Amino acid sequence: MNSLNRFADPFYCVTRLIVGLMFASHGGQLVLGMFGGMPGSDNMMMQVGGWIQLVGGLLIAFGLLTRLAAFICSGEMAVAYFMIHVANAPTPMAKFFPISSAGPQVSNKGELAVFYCWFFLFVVFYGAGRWSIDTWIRKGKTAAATATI
Amino acid sequence: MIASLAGWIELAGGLLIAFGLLTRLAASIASGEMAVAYFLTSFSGKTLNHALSVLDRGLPILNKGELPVLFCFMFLLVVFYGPGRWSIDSLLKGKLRSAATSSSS
Repeated sequence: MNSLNRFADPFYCVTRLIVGLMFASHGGQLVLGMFGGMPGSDNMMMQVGGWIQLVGGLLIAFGLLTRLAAFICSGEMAVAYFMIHVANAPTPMAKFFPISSAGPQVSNKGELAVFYCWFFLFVVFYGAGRWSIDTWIRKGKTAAATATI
Repeated sequence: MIASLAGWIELAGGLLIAFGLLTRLAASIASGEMAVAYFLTSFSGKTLNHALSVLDRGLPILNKGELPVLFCFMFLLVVFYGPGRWSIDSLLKGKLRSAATSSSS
């Protein structure tokens, strides 16, 4: 089963692409009004959050400045979870459980925010992976360095 | 029937993945289940309950299938990455290895 580990890094890059694009589409919904927009997104906080999601999501998806972008997005999702989902939960139980398919009395529906927060924290520690602009730039630099020597 | 079958996979598989017991096996089953869930509910339009456009089918943000897509990819990543060092799997493997070395020496 350990032989599967050789596919971990390529598959990590595919996952990073998909998750980054889905995250960026939330940003597009907030700041550009794509996908029908989102009600209540016309205040300063939500607009700043939306730009972080749009730009950060695209940076993570294509692997440019991956760790930095993932760190900011992860922090933003933690803020979103506690300041929006937990703060608006009506019951003590709903403050604790994020399950998105349950009712508002038992759940704050912040599962996506939690999921993105932890995934991006994983990205911060794992790095960009082999299929990313970061790796591509670094390879070009080392090739140029060895060419001059 | 199909929903409660899925529920058992989610309950048992989720706990197995969380504590890292039979991690790759549990994650591959859970990942497959999430792919089925996405195509049977979100992609088919059951979640939205109206006829879907091409855009609705293609984008998880529109057909509300973002969570199954995330779980599917995350668990597939777990299948390839493995249980990691803090898991029951590695604990058992370490025990087996130390038992093997102590019996051979």
